[in-house]
Amino acid sequence: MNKTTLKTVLLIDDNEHDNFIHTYTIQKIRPELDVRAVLSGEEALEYFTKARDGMDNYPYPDLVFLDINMPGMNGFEFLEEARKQKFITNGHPVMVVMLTSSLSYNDVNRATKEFSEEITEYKNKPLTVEMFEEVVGLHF
Amino acid sequence: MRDAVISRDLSGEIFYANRAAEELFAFPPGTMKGSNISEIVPGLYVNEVKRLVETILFGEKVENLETERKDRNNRPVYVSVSMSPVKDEEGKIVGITSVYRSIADRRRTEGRFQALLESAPDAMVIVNKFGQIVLVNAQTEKLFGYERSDLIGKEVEVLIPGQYMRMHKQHRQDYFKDPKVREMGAGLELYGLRQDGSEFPVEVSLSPLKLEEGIFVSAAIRDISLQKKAALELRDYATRLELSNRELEQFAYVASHDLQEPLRNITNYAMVLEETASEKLTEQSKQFLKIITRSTERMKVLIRDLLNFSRIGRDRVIERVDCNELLQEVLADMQMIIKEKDALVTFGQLPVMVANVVEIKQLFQNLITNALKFAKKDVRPEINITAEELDEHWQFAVSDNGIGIKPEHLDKIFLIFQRLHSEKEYPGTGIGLATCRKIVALNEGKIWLTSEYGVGTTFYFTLTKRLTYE
Repeated sequence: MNKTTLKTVLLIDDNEHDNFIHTYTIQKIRPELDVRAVLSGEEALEYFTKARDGMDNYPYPDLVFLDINMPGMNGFEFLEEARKQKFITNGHPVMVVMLTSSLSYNDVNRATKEFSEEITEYKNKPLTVEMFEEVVGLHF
Repeated sequence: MRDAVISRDLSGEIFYANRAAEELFAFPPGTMKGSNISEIVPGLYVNEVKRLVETILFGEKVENLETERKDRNNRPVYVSVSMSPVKDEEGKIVGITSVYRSIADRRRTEGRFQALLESAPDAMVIVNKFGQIVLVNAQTEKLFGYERSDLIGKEVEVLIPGQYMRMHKQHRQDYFKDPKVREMGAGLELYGLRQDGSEFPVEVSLSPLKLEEGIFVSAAIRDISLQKKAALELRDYATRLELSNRELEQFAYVASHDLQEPLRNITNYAMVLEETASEKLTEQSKQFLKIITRSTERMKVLIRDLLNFSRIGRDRVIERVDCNELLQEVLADMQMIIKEKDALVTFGQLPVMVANVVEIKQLFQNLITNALKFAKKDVRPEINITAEELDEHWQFAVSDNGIGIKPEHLDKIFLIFQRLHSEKEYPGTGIGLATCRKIVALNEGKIWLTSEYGVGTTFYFTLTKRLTYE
């Protein structure tokens, strides 16, 4: 992955409180970042479609924090669909961090086996300042 | 004593009786002639006599039939009777002469035998070599719903349900060729047949019985309906227990999983509040917030451990586990704390086995964490891990030079939430060793320890070698 400038962060999580806290945490140390939050896999696909089509106010995400357990389309299903539509692996490089409430061995296993192309990190909620700095420091 | 002789016509009227007959049946001298034969036939034997009469009329003889009659005072008289026809000049049968011999002496012996039978707890059925029932006890009557007289002389197969009857006849004939004491139909489910047609499960023991008259077989039959029912109930109970255990585990899993989110919210918003409203809060309010944060931190650890505990055994993947590599990984994960404690952790040659990698990792991690936690304050902690191959298991030992455990606490330490120290002294959730025990149980092994207070502790655990890849 080429080093790019981090401008836009997309949070994909059905939990609004988590989204609020994660936005708060990120903007505490990087107030200039554009942090967007969507509440489901479906909404995330919609966001990516609009961003790819260059729609106003839908900047293409550079970094995605993805929850796995979500009602409806879950994190893995989102990744499958995003792969079909080449949202993550083509053109604009996007870094995906799996961010879940409890990292289960099976989820990590599945992520490494099936989605190593897309997912670069696995973290436990909540996102902390240190975690964010570590991830960003490694890849941007 | 002379034989008793009685002749009667076909209506049963006695036209000749000797002295011996009058004595045997307690008739005053001279009173038997003119009486009816039915006066010496007990109710139960009326049909027998009818059949005997038919036999004679058919031209056949009856010889030495052992049976029961009664005297004038209604007391039983046990006799052996032979019967022959009385014919007129033209050869037509007009009456029957019966010769009775008392078998009271023998009956006394048999009576004792009968008493023995009656005292047996099981239904006893004695069968001759033709398969005919010759004796039964009261338990048999009760169990099968027959009168004794309905059974005597019948083939023993009347007590056996139709589908087993043929097999039984064959087995019975084989048994008489080589009679031994044994269980009947070992390993098979046997059933008895009641007179009303209902069937019930039985256990049957057979033993040969050698009498003057030849070989008989005695069968002790036990109704095992209750045992069967109890076994079924036990199985049912085990199933329900398993289900309720699974539900309980599911509950612990869901509860610990779902508790994380509200807890996270409390922690997070307390943090946001502290950071955004700092200047508006009094020192006391800030203190309150700190307490909230500290408590949620502790709760987070509890929930995490509980979740780990309840996750064990769920979606279990069995794979090849090299314990040497695995332990390297564990130590790498723990290097911070190992460094901080300046501990020396060593291990010998460990096996490559088939297991669930998460479980084994957790097991070592918990035991090493424990050893580090309960190290002596002023001595460098030393932890050594070894393995030994047994017949069906691998046996591991994790030993330390820590504070040790008092003997009276040994049996408590694997219980969940059981803690021996205050939170301040040694923080913890009391779930670690319970988790170890659960893991070891899943691996068909055991976990135990030896410890000397003030010297050190060694935890041993075994893991089965029998797990296979799915």
